[in-house]
Amino acid sequence: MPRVIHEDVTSNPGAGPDARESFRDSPPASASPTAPAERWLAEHGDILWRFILARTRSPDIAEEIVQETLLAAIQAHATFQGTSSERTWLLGIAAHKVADHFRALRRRAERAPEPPAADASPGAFTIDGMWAKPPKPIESSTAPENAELLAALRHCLNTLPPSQAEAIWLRDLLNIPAAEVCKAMGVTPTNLWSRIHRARAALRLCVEKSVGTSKDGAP
Amino acid sequence: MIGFVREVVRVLRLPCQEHAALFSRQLDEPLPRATAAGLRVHILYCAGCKQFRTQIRRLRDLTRSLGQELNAGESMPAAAKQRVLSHTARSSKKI
Repeated sequence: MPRVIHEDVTSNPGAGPDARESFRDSPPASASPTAPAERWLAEHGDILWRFILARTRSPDIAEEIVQETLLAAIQAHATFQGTSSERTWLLGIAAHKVADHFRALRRRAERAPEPPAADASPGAFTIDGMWAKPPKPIESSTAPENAELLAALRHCLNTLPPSQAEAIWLRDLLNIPAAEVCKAMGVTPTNLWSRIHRARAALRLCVEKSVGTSKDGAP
Repeated sequence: MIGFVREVVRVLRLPCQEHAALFSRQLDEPLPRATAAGLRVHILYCAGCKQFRTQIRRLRDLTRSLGQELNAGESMPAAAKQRVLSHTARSSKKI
């Protein structure tokens, strides 16, 4: 089941090898610079829109970021290697733009830097790296509790620092293969794993805090 | 064989913080056999790491199911697409 999204990415005729092939062909010199943008919007506009809307929750901002993504893609068009699918490439650009948006919001609202990312789960481990607060069960298989977990997860995803959110959205939510995420984000595999691990550890703590405590009777 | 055992022992001696990172990585790709074996032995006696592994597996599945909602979500409104295209055409002239 989790493969559905990725399969959609690769099995969609517009995003498949045919599209990649045509994308590698240089456009005729007389073609309008916005011609590819029209095609990108037709073939990938909906997934870009849903992705950005899910993250920003504002249709106005989503529209703005779709536009920024297309402009950035037009500029980067010539350097696109075709090593990842066109859709992944565009989603990678969109993810950067969303991260920029949140960084700007954070700067404006708090004038605070992105939280230091050295500690994946602050307070979870002792100085020796042993469990200070061992994880508690947050398992739930019943539908209402699942809904509760999903709601908590939605909230917690929005609390991640932009660089971690970008990694976890591309890898875990959109289920894009790690190698393609690395290319789209321009990071090394080690860097990606580290971001993803920090994001998962932070999500775990956040979700545990939101729903897990009631399970073992803690207040 | 000696190399295998050495790696198992190395993994067993790691602090749980490192085990947690390895469990997370294991969600995405298979670890070397000896490293995975070390982790399997470790969770036989470490309830914290065992719970952590269960939790992040569960969370990853939940995260993916959230992602699947994207496929069923709303399409970008046609008017918004039109506005984006005309803005893009205008802005790209300035590039």
